[in-house]
Amino acid sequence: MTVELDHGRPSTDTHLIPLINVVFLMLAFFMIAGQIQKSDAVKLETPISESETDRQSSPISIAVTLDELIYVNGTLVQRQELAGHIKSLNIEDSTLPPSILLRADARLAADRTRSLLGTLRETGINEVALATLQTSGSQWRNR
Amino acid sequence: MKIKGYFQLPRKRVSMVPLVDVVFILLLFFMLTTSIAKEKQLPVSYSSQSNTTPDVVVRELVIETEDGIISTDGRRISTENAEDLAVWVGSNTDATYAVDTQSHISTQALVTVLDRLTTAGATRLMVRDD
Repeated sequence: MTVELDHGRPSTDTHLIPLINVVFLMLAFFMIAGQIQKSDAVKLETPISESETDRQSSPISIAVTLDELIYVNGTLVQRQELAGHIKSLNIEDSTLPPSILLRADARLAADRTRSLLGTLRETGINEVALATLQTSGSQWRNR
Repeated sequence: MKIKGYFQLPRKRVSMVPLVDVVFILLLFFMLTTSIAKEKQLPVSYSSQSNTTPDVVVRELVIETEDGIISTDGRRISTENAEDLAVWVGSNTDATYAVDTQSHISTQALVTVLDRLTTAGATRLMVRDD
């Protein structure tokens, strides 16, 4: 009986090397180019903008959905109660001027957004920023 | 019994399969949790018709269409045409631009026009909120 031991045969794992290369490249891309962020409680389509201003943390964040549901810091608030609700918020960090980050759905009618700005003006808060997204290479959005 | 060949300790091969498993899990994690789009913000000044300071030159403009055609002083300007817009803004350098919209205009169109005006050189922009 003859027993041949073949230790020199290449492993089948070597066929995986191109796959591993590609997967490593994809992993590196997502790790470098992407940024991990907290998912928003309210899902909406953020307007795309060329603005270079980084998003600041704001004590008050208002989200307005396409259905015109208004969430203040994640809490659903009726439109007519918005001004009172904002005034009742205790902004602890008094060293900063009160500011609001307004996340309005891109598809929401602009006059609704403007009307909301009018309500915010009534609360005495003058610093409002619209939350936007800057996509890589975003240019004018043609519709 | 005849054994052909020679005995030596078999080379310990590191299996690639667990490595691939871990890398795939990492890839899946980063693909699901990261966002390529960068979060930015667009500072907005807003004003009503009534509280605009009288000594400030205010150019009222209304966004007419989703693709950014504005009407101002009885003329229509396409904000898509960056050169025309820059010429118009250049002739009103000290002005404050008060942006109004037609009822069917989306927030995206408003943001886009604000962007285009800023790129054209307008420094004082406000959104009419009434």
